[in-house]
Formats: sequence, C-alpha cells, structure tokens
Amino acid sequence: MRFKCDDLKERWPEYIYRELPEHEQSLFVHHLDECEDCRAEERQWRGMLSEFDSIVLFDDSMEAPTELLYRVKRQIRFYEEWSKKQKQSMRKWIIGAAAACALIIFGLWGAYQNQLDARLSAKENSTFQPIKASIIDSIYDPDIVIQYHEHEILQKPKKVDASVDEKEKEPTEENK
Amino acid sequence: MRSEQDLVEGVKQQDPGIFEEFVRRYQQRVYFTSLRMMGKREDALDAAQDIFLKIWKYAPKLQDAVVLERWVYRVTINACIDRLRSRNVHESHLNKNNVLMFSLAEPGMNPRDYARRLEDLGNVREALDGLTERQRAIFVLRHFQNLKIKEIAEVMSMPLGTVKATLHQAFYKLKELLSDVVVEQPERKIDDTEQTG
Repeated sequence: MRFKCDDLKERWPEYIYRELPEHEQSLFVHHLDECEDCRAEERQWRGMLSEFDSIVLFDDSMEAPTELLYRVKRQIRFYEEWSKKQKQSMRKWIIGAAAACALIIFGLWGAYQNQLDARLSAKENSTFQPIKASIIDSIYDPDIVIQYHEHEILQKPKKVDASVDEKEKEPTEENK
Repeated sequence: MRSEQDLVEGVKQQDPGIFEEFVRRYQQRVYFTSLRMMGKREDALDAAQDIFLKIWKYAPKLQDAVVLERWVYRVTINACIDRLRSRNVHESHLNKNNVLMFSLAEPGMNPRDYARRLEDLGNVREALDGLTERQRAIFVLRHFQNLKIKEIAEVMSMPLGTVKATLHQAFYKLKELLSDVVVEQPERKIDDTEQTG
C-alpha cells in the first residue's frame, strides 16, 4: 500500500506531532521521499509552526506572575468569608421563615377554634332547621357539610323525639 | 514534595497549605494556557485566578480516581472558552504594544528587523484569535501544552475523531491566516526515530 497526496492532506497534524500509527508514519515518510509537492507542503507547515514556537520561546523565558498566588489566596479568603456570611444569613432566613409559618399556623388554628366554638354555641342556643341536601350537594357546599353533619349529630335524639311525638299524635287523631 | 494522590486528597479537603502547593505546581500550566487562549496578560491573570477559585470551590466533589492534570486543564479550557464567549467576539483583544513589548529582540538586530519581528509575532497571535474557541483550545493544548490528541479528547470530553478533525481545521485555518507571514522551513532529514514515532 502507498499513500497518495490526498492521504497526506488528512494526516498532516498527526504526522507533524508524530501521532500517526507506526505503519502510517512509514507510508507518509515514503510518500514524502517521492513527492516534491508534499515536501514543499511539509516545509510550509513546519514554517508555520515555528512561528508559534517563537511565542513558546518567549513565554518559556518567563514564569507565571508572582502576584497570581497572592491573588488566588486573597480571592479564596474573600470567597470563604462571603460563603460564611451567606450561610449565616441563610440560617437567619430559615429561622425567620419557620417562626412566621408557626405564627400563621397558630393564628389560623386559633381563629378556627374561635369560629367553631361560636358556631357550636349558636347552634346550642337556636332551634335546628333541617335542610334537604344530598351527600353530593354537601361535597360542593361547605356550609351544607357542617349543617348536615351537625344535623346528624345534634338531631339524632330530636329525631327520636319527633317519631315519638308522631306516634303520640296518631292515636289522638284517630281518637278524634 | 507531595505525591499526586496526596495532593488530590489535600485539595479535596480544602487544606490551605496543600492548596498553595497545588497552585505553585500548576500555575505555569494554568497561566500560560490561559494566556494563549485569551491573548492578553491581564485577561490571562484574571482567568487563572478564577480557575483556581473554581477548583477550590469544586474540589470537595472531586472523584478519587481523577487525573489532576487533566481535570485542571479541563477547568482551564472551559473557563477560558466561557470568558472568550462572553467577550465581544469581534473585539480584537490583542494589544500589540502590551503583549509584545517584551518580544525577542536579538543582539545586533536593527530597528527595522525588530519592528518586522514584532509585527510577525503580532500576526501569529492574531491568527490564533482567528480560530474558533474550540479550535484554539485544541491547538493550544496540542502545540503549546504538548498534550497527546487522546489526552485532549479526555480533557475536552470529546470523541477522538472530533478532536482530530478540529485540529485539522485549525491547521488549515492558521495556514491560511498566516500565508503572508510564514517562511518555509528548510527541508528536514527525517531520522529513524521520527519515522517510528
């Protein structure tokens, strides 16, 4: 197998950096030996890269700025202080939010209890007005739920009384 | 001098003393990679500082089996690419007077040659600017940091074929951009060791 010029075109970077597999490297070199155009192209590539090498030569004569370490240490100190403050303020927020939630819950609970007490006492003091509502209605109307259940709970003994009354009434009508 | 494993352990635990040693050990690589990516010393210094801070922040999450050098390069390249993207792309960040005032002035070089040398070096840096961020990163890692293509693929989390293709694109783009500057190198004799790679 032999390499053609097009085969080289795809492989220049790998060849220059000697990263071609061994057999491809040999084929590459073999083609270069035979092809003047590709040898010229190789000179161009190496010329181009040598321009970059001049930057490397220039840079290698220097070291990273000494201030870098100082700046990194200072930056880390700032970051640590900042994150400590963040944590503290976050803790304050959490405690504040928890306290606010507790207050709201207790407030709502107290209001609910007051309302419940008021309703119960109002019911106790008033005659019961039975309502005609189905269970389905009671799902959609919270007032019905309360009244319905109250009716069930509170009126049970009254129901018994009513039936007794009716039974008592019946013979009187017959008697009449 | 601590071993790599000890260094990883110390960095993970955010031990200030070990982290300082880590910075001393890696600052050259981080700074010069940033410099070649960013093109300007001030930008490179800012980038390097941010990179080490990022490393400090994310160090506790570092996996035990990590190769520290590759991870550092990964953070460096990603940080530089982010910075380059956030910067105005068309803004030429090359300040020739600033970057090149220390450039090589060989003894006996006349002012005209020196000026030409300076201009050429400026063109070379400008050519680097002409690459996309990814092309530049791959070229910088391969040419300046001397990482193998396979290592670059690991650093950049990219398939090997993509790295090769991108490096190829970078080569041809640089050649085009530097067509006026490049002087052909004299023909090289390739010895046996080079042939076998």
